[in-house]
Amino acid sequence: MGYTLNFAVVWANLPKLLGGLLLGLELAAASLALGTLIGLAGGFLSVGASRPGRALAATYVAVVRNTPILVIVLMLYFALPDLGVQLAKGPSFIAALSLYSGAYLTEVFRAGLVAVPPGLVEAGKAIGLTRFGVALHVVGPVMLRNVLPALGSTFISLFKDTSIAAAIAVPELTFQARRINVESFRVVEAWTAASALYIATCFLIAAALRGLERRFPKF
Amino acid sequence: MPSAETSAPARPLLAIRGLRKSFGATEILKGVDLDVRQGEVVSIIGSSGSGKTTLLRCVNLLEEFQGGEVLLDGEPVGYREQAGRRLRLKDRDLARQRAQTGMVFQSFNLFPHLSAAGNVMLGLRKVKGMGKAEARAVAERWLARVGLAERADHAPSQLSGGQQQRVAIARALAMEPKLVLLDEITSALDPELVGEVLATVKALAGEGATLLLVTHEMRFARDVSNTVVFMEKGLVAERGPPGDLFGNPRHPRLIEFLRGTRDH
Ligand SMILES: Nc1ncnc2c1ncn2[C@@H]1O[C@H](COP(=O)(O)OP(=O)(O)OP(=O)(O)O)[C@@H](O)[C@H]1O
Ligand SMILES: [Mg+2]
Repeated sequence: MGYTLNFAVVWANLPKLLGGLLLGLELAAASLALGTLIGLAGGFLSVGASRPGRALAATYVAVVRNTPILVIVLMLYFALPDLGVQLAKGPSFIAALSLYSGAYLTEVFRAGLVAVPPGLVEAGKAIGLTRFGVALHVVGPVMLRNVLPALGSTFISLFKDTSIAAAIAVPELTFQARRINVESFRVVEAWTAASALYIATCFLIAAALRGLERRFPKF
Repeated sequence: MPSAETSAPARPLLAIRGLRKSFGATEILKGVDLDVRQGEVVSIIGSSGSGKTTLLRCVNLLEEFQGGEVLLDGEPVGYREQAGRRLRLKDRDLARQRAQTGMVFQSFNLFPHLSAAGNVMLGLRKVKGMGKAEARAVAERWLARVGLAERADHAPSQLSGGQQQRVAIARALAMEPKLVLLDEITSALDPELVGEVLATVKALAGEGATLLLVTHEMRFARDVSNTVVFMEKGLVAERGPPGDLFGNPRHPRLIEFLRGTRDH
């Protein structure tokens, strides 16, 4: 009876844990970038004039939001190969997380687009910009500033969601913690270390985002 | 299409012929005829809801219209005729036509993510294809003309309402439009800021700009215009030189309208 804490195994494995942490950040950043592209397309479609476009965006959001993220990850990794698409673990997970975040970001961007004053669109048209020009030079930048806080919290969520990649043996932080756990039976130490690293990183990201928001002040 | 002849000197820069516009089942413009000659300043007055804003928005293609035509420099805007059918132009053509008219809005509508100079430069760069340095130089020249040389790098939120509206005027005029539309551009301003904006418009009028403006400032309309147009229920009810229209109004609704405005 009695569990004696011994963090030596954590220190010994610190490089692996930090490597896993870094990999998680990379997965989150890549997914955020791809998810942002998907979300921008979805957002503009969902406020656009095309009825099929709006239906497509709405269906995508509804399907993804009602599917557990773990299922999306497993489906892309295990089911797609049977359909002839074989992705390595990392890219497969990035694809899953991008698809997932794209749905949430579609909603974020849709709300941001709706909040852009119509007068700005008209001012853009009045100087002779095409619809695409207005979207690119007026609506896009104004909307992005408005959704910057939401983008930041999405990034933090995505970073935490990278722990799900352990399910397909992507060697990120959660995977590394479980490996220590299995190899050394230091259950408490391994998971405490992983939690501490997740929490500290999220705090750092949040602080960096606040700095970024100060750099781009609200209009 | 009546007017495709070679440009006779008498041809108006803007010719509105029988313009009809409905929102749903409600007809708002019921056959408006209006000419604006090169270099002329035309003021539209009239009671609220008479269709003044709608008329300007049709000219700048921000609204579709169902009947009649708008000719800018002889070119029909917004629509083309094909096999007897009237078709709305494609986005790219609408944009090209819109670039020929400038518009200043009641609510300024400056791009909040760009500086004063950036607001003026956007159209120069993305519509006219000017390089950055040249666009910047043109923007600075126009900002200086509206008295804001020192404010080029300020964000719109750092400017007063009057300053914002003068940036909006510079933004419209820097594009060298054939015609500038101004819709109640002082209505959103504190009274003490109205003067600076009206003085700016007056200076532009003096320099030969062609202006079609809607205003509730009767003194200004009288001062600045060559022609004043009184709109009533979606039609031009009376038009003439400001001296006649204000000094000797004939239409009973105009007489009533002017009596109403003199009170404040
Ligand atoms: N988008 C719209 N949809 C439906 N009705 C509209 C729309 N815009 C304007 N109207 C109606 O058209 C009529 C004319 O409006 P408009 O804004 O042109 O009047 P106005 O002469 O500019 O009035 P004001 O002096 O108050 O600015 C009004 O009855 C208005 O309610
Ligand atoms: Mg109006």
